[in-house]
Amino acid sequence: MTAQVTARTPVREVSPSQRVGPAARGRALREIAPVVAVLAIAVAATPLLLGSAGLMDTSITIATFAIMAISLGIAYGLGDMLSLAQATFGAVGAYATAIATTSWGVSPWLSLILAIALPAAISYGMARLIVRLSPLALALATLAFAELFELAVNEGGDLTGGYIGIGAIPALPLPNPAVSAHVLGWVLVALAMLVALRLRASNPGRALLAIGTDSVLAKSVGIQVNSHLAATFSLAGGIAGVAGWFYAHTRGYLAPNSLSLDISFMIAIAVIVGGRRTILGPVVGTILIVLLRDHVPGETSHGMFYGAGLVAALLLFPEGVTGESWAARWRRWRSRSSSDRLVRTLGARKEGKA
Amino acid sequence: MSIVAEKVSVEFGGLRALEDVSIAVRPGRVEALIGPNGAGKSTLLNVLSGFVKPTGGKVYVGDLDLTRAGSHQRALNGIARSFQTPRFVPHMSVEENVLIGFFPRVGGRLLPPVVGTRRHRHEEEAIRDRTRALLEEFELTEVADTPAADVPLWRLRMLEIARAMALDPQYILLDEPAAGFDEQERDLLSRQIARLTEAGVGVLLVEHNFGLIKSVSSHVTVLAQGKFLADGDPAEIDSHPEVVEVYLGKEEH
Amino acid sequence: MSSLLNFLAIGVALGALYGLIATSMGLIWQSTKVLDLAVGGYAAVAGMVTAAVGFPWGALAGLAAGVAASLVMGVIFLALQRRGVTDQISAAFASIGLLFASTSFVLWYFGTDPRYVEFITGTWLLGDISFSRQGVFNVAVAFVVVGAVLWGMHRTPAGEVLRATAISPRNAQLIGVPVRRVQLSMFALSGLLAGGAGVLMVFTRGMSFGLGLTLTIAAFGAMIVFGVRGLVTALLGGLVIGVVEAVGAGYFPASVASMVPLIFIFAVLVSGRFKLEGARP
Repeated sequence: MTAQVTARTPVREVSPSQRVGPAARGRALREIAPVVAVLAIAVAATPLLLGSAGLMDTSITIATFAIMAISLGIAYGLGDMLSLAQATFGAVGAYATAIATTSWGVSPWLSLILAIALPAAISYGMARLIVRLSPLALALATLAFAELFELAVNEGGDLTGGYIGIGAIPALPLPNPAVSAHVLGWVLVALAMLVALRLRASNPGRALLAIGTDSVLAKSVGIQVNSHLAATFSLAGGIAGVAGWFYAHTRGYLAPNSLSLDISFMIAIAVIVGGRRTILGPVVGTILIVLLRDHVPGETSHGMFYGAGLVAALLLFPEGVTGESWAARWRRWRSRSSSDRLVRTLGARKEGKA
Repeated sequence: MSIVAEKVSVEFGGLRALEDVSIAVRPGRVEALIGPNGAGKSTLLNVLSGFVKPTGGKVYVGDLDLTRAGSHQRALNGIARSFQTPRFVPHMSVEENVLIGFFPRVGGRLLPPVVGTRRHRHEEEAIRDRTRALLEEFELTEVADTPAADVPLWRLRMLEIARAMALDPQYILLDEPAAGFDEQERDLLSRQIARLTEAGVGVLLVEHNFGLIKSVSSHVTVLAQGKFLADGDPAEIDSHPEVVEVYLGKEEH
Repeated sequence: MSSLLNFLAIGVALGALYGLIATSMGLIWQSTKVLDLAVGGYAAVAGMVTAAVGFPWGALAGLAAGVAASLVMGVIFLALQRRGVTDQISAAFASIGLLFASTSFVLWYFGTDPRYVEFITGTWLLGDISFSRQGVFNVAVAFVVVGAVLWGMHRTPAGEVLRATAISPRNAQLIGVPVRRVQLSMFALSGLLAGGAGVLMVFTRGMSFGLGLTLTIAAFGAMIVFGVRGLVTALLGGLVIGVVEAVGAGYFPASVASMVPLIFIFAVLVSGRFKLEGARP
């Protein structure tokens, strides 16, 4: 344990500039484009979805999981912490709001605060235990936690409803429930993307990238690696809690296996397939994975497609589908094959001389 | 107020990397640290920057005892450093790499940027302005938006110093910043170092190139095999018999 | 007291099988530093195939199925290496993908019903304790097999090649060892061990599609009980996990009992004793 030292002459704080310049405004607009695009597409698609309850349902499902995926994008894409417990933190939020609204009669809007605070607190506590670990050990620890939580909730008796779960969770008091749920869901997705975006463009976000690359570098610029990672993990937990809150109030019922390890895996696959380091990656990945899940014939063969899809993604798109632009990919493939040819020609020439 | 290492010893599993070495870095002056390879120069620099904890001795800034303080706390106390092999985030641009140097000055709290408070936006603007100024000072404006991985070595070294300057530090520890430089690049570096001292920053310069040392430093400490060998101003050291022997002795025989 | 000893006996009968799967995981870990989380899946596939084909040829079919599944992982591993994707998370994730795929395959092909095949029936009584003969057989097989693997690794020239490749694939390649083939054969051996455990399990307790993940978790817990040191510690770790689970199930409700290996895994991971390479750069 290193001694805490308070600076005698603390570093000079930055005096904020009086106004934000045009370059910054331009940059902000460019960065926000994907968020606006996603929201615009969702809103524009509303009339198309109105006809079919199934499609509306799918949209709400995608939105719910996309929020969780974005939270994993923060933890894993920025912080290099692969959490297989994001759905579990969602479950914490979901159960919190379910219990608060059904047993204590709290308004859903108010229980949202609990649905964010409780997972944020729990994930912070867990983070302090696991941020020091190597990436694989950290992932396994979150996996163990996810399984444990599900088992514990199963034994929760009257509080959590045991293996039956909690039913009759009140829907959100909104006009035109189906449509507003869809719109609210995508608004939440847009907000989550905004959080991720703002984080990436800020110094704490850059600090996370520094930590992920080189913790010696990070420490040399004054970053307290462990607390920074723990705070980030907590933020991701809170965002997952929002998704859980949304899930509880749009489904109306909640069981221990609703938001379990399986969902966490699905979200992790979505983030890996879509690209963990981009803003759109988690959202695109979620859309792909949910559509795949819903259109693959037969529920039993889902796992094979997930598994195959995951392996394919790891082999073909290590940075995810959105990770590298297709133009760059093409250029890379072309340069590799031409350099192969060059090497072979040089080799042949050498042989000839010898 | 100087940064002082007092009788510092470092032992790694039976190997004495440093034995009772003292050194002081004064504000506005350049302290050079030289010695043959394996003399313990980098180790001493690591002790000063908190990456190696000494097994004996103390490190002070003014009267603040930093000996046991973690490496991130050095930055919080105004001590910045560069690395022998430049360290940077390859997929971030040069500008963003310099921006992380401001970390202690704007803090790492997550909520202000996430919520988008006015204060945060204005702080971000301020550090971007300051970064642009630093980039210009260190001839990095051309490559501001280039990913750091694609940038030549001399620019990476300039990046490291620019990043160190972002802290607005009282002391900068430079670990062989001129390694692999040609004459033009060395001149650029010595001009930068001169600017640092003009701004009142205390510089520790670990270097092999004596020409560079002569042009910027006011005091030289020589280490050999982990022990103090000699110190004095550059001219004295240049002609110091023991120093010459330790550097050239092996070649003669 | 006697009931405790009975639980112990049950625990050891199952624990031997956990130990076999843990050894299978340990083999891959030691030779490629990959955490193969699909090992439970190999066992599940092997067990279900055994039940489907029926006694006696089912056992052979089951083993073959286990090896086939592990070879899939081997091929995936080599493909990842070739692509330059060498980090542990990607490999572990690929194995999770295979675990899903194998679980889903079993579900799709064999259905949800658990299967059981009778092999050795009856019990031996020693005072108040009853040992199932199948259980004793399991323990014997586990020790003999692990012993044979160790003997092969340490006393045969082929084993030396395997060990050398595990220590440094690059050096092995330089001296002409067909590294890829060696690594694939390690996966095959691992599949044989896990598959064997699956076959025995369908004789002991039965097998169902959902057991893949459960077995993987038990095997991982077993591997880390005594620190990731060797194959014997993995086997012994399996016995410990089996006993803890059986004793727990005897005195507590099932849910609580299955929490114990998980709490144990979490505690060991958090303590940092599970030394993994690839720590934060």
